[in-house]
Amino acid sequence: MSGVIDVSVRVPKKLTFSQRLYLPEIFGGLAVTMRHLLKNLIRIRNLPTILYPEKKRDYSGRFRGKHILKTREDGTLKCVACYMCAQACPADCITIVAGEHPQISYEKYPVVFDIDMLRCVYCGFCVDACPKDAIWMTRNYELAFFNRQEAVFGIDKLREAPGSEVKDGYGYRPYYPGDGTVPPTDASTERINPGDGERAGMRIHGTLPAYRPSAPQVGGVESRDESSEFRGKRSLS
Amino acid sequence: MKILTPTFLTYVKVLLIVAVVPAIVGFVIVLAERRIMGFMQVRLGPNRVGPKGTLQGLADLLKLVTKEDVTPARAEKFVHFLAPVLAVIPALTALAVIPMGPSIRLARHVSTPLWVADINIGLLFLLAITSIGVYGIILGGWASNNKYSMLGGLRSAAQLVSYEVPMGLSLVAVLLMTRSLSLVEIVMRQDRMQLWFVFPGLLSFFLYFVSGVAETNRNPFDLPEAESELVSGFNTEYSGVKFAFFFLGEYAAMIIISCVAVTVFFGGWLPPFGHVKALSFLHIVPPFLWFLAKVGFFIFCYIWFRSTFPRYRFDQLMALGWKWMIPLSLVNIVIVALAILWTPGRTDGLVRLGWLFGALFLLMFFLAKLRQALARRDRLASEPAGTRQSALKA
Ligand code: SF4
Ligand code: SF4
Repeated sequence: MSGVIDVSVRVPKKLTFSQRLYLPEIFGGLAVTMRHLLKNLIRIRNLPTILYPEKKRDYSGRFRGKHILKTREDGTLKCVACYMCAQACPADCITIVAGEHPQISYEKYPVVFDIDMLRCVYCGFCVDACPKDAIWMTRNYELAFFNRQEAVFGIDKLREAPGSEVKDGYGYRPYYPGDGTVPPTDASTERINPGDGERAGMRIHGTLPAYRPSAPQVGGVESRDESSEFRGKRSLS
Repeated sequence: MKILTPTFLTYVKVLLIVAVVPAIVGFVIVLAERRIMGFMQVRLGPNRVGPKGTLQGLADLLKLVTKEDVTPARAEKFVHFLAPVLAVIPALTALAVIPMGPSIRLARHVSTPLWVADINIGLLFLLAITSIGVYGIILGGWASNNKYSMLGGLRSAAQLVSYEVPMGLSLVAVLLMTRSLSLVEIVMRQDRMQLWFVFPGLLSFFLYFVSGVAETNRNPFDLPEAESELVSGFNTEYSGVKFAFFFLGEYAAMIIISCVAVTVFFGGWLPPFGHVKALSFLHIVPPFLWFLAKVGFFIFCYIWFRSTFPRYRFDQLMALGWKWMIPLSLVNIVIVALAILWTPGRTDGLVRLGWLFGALFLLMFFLAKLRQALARRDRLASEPAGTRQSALKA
């Protein structure tokens, strides 16, 4: 039977007598919507709608939201400006300008690290690509801007502020089994049932414990990456 | 009380209609539509502006008024301006002949009926004036100098021509019973005959309301503004206040259709079963409220239809109009005429016709239900055991 392509043929179902009478089906349709109206009016709390700004759906621990640049214990960026993430990025939205790091073992650090949040497709490839686990993602998806320039997040907006809470918690991030850290939860274990809408049991924003890395974080050393001397030279291509 | 002369009162009533109807449209009907449709579609609908979203109409109004009023560069300027006006004015004018209630007493010697004018060609006037409204749509579509608008206008014209006919013919059947075109007289006669015309005129009512939905370009007959095909149809090039006028015109037309349905078929301001002694307490409710409630129900039906039915294809629309509605309405006239001749001078024939319609309707319904149940049983029997269960689990 080579050369014969098996095409599935859809034969339209023959209408039953009542369907051909037309009117019963019309009234049946009206009954469906009326049932919904009454059901939802009586049990308005069971509607799946989430009243967004007040209540938020808690996304999985692997949610890919705004990026965050991890810091070392001394507060400097872990990033060594290797350009791996920029290379991996399918949207070509990471702009890095490397500088020479005074500490010889690090060699380089990013003077400019920009991500164009409007071009990013939130694929997480940059996280996968990074050899230093320097770039993670958070569950923060509230990225609204007034203009395109604002949408380009520099180091100031991307770096993790030492000691302070990460907005909405960490999302997609590298995980090595056996290093004592908690694995990011899988989306499938975070099941959100339809009808969780306005119910009291709805997961209210932030009820899941935020992921905390095992290493204690030491607060703020003023690092050179804050310096703005290279700012003027960066290209936003 | 010199000031309460009939002329003055007429002016007051006209002003009330012109002021109140748009307000009702903006604040009540649109909000009700959006929220009811929301619940029917398992969502909430607008609930942000004001308590439970009640001020949504105000927000919409502000938005429409402050928006830029764009006239396309190569549009026919004057006609482009005229079209929305033509859509609104006839609909508001038609409300003048709708009797909303019997006379009410304003002062000791002053009483006034709740209609602006009772003219002896009321129904004819209504049909004539409401069909002017479609000129707004056609002209708007033509004047915009836009292909989509044009197509929307053309569709509207074809649709109107097709559905005016069954609408008029279905009302003819009622005229056989009333022998008057005056809407007030129609209501009075329903009172005297102790019979709402919907009973012997079930088919008439059905035809009338379906054509009415088609006349007002509402789902499932909203082809002139079919978003998925024509961007927004005839009103594509309209924005701001002019768009608001089209909007208002559409809803005012809905109100008109509902008002006529109530007046002609559902006894206008009469309470249901007003002649049954046991239900005489229904007379406590003011007649105007009865009228309002009935009209509200039909507006609700419009909303209900909108959230239930998908849009017709254009050929289906035409087929339905010409192959079903028009022949049916002709047959209906014959049936009603025969029923009147059955018992000349009395209403028995009409009552019997009503029972016949009711019985036929129920019979058809039960046949369909029976058939459905049988089909379901067959399907269940033919399926291998357990398939349904696993399908449910998945
Ligand atoms: S998430 Fe994907 S698109 Fe966004 S910066 Fe990373 S690699 Fe580029
Ligand atoms: S891959 Fe990691 S270390 Fe390399 S430039 Fe990107 S963030 Fe920095």
